[in-house]
Amino acid sequence: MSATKDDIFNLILASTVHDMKNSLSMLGESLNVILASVDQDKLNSDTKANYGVVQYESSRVNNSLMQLLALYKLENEQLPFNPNYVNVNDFFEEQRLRQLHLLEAKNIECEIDVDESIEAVFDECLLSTVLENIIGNAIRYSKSKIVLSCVQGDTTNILVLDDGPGYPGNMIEMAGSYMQGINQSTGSTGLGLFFAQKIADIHSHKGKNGSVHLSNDGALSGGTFEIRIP
Amino acid sequence: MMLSLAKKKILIVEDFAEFARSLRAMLHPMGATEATIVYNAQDAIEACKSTKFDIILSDYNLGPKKDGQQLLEELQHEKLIKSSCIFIMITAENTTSMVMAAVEYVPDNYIAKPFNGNLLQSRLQKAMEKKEALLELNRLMRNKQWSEALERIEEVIQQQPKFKMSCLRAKIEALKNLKQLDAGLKIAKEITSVRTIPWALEAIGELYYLKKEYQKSVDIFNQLIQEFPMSVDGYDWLAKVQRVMGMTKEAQLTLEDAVKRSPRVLQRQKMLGLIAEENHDYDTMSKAYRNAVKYGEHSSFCSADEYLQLTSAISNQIRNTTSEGEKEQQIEKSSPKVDIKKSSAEVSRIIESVTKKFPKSQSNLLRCKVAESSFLNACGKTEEADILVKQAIEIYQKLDQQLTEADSLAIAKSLTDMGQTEFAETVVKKAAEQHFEDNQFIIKAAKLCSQPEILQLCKKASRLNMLGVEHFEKKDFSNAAKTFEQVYELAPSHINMALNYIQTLLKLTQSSDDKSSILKTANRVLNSIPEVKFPDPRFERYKELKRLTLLLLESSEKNSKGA
Repeated sequence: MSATKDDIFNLILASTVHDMKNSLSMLGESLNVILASVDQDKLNSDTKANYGVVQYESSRVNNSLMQLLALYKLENEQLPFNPNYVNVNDFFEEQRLRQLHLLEAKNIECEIDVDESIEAVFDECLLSTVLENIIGNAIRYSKSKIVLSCVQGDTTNILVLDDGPGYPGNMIEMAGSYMQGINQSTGSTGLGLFFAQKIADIHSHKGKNGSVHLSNDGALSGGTFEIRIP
Repeated sequence: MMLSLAKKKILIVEDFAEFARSLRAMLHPMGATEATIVYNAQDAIEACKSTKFDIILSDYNLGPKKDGQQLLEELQHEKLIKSSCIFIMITAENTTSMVMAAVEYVPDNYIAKPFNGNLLQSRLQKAMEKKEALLELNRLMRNKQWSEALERIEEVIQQQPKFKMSCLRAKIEALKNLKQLDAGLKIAKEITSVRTIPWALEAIGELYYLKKEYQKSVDIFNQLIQEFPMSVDGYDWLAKVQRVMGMTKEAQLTLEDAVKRSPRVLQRQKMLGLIAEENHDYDTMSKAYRNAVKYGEHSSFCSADEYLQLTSAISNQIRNTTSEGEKEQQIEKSSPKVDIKKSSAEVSRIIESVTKKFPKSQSNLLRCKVAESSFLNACGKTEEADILVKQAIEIYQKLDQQLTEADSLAIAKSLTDMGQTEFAETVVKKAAEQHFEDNQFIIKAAKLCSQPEILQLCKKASRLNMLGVEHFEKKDFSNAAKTFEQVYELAPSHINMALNYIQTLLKLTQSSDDKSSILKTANRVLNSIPEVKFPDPRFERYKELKRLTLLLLESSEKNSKGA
């Protein structure tokens, strides 16, 4: 009867996530409505910063929910995986739009550096969940600018660069085993990177799987996140 | 590029009122002035009857009744939205699971909650751009103008290479319908030789199936479900091919796997029920049809069939538990005891639902009578059952429309179950005469019929029909008419065969001196078959041949009077 138990948990999980997401949507939109009703010039910088915090935190909660749900499904072989041809420029543009409120609130520029004709094969929804988290983090740590770029060779390499302090050394060394990054004392759950690695891994082509790489030697002299899709 | 929604008629379907309002607020900066909000699918359907919307934004979760997908299906099925209408599905989860579901009607785009106005605008813009680029192509595809669609596809690929993949998918579909299976296969294989794209792999499996290369088809679908375990149509297809190969046990296991992953699809549950019946596994059969009834309740694809199949399954469960031979086997399988009282209440509920929910056609009435009597018979109430059988025979003799293959088989099966072999054979023989070219049907029909001559008759009629078509194509109308006359005599109630005969006779009049007697024959044949009504697929052909026959007959009578 364990199947039934799983089914019930699945149902509860899905409907709870649905409910929480409705609440999050409402939170975000209500805030926008409130903000639109006040005179922008009269807003002090504190209010703007607080607004940014609410935006950022609610999208983080949402993103974590998505990742948890996806990981649960992956464990139970229920995660749908549907790779298709995706225009990378369009994909980046949507990522930027998702974060527009936060970018504006923190006054950070987001540059998209990709040839408009580049197409790659991946699951758009899953990669979107990965990047939403990574870009959110990049915005959080960067000073003034982040760059989304893509290089195509044997693999399609999607990069997120920022001009912040860079990734901590121990995180870079952890490459390939981000589960260890879960550290309750520092507050870093490592979920985002762990999830990125899992999603990279289910993308495979001709016997090769995707991978995730971190470095601090990017063009903006901050951190560089890279996901390679075969 | 700024999107302007000014003057666009927009419908928001969202059960959560607060969110619906915030959605409308999001549309406001895009210039939207006319946005209607409804809170459930039924109200959305009503709204679409009075207004032709340009854009529909619908949540997938719409409370206890129809969901967003069922809403879309009904709107398209009932043609309540114009072909240029943009339908965006708002989902709570990652949308991949929706994209991979086997659905006939797909929305123009998905958007997952939560989202902001910027993202919504981008999705709307993309959907509108794609809709416009493919509008003409989609129209041709919907009207089944495959050759014209192929020409259009090449133009779109030239002008807008961005939509190449959508175009190639449409191209494979068009080639498949034009029976150019190898050409379609070539394109799909070219796609998968570069990358394993699930839909392209599925197309290859389907094309092998159509080419009757079943083993290759099975291999492809096995690959598909191994690489993409949530591609549930892969399982549906695999089961379908396994069944055709006679591997009904394997097919059932495949489908049981599929319903575990995605139970909410009516057609999938019905298919499982059908295969379980072939395996005499009535417990699985009743479970599957019970689910079909449940999940189909708000679907525009639901029919009386799944309700009545459920009664048949229940009747057979009772027969199995009460029959001496199977008793021990049942205990071994520790099958749940069937409670006759409970079943009886369920069957009456089902029959009541059928009469309430579906048109009171004679075929439905007949099927209900047979289903009820078969159930009574299973419960040992043979006298009451026999009374209903007599009523069923009366209805059958007065039918104004031919029964469909599925109805004929279901009725014959229930009658056979209750030992009414004579009536069952009458139904099967008549149906065989009407559908002798359908091999799948004939195989099933033969199992229900003790007389092998129907198979022989079918073979002979099929052979003669092919010969007739050959004569006709060579414009040898005289020999074609002679051959089709033989077919007509073998299978006088087969509508298409009668129409073949009539069409040939009309051709023959063009070169014959004795127009009048030929036309009289044509008219006699025409009157011998029941009237074909819309939406029967043979309706257009029937109508045209009838019109021509009457027209020619009239003018020939005038001429003979004048002479």
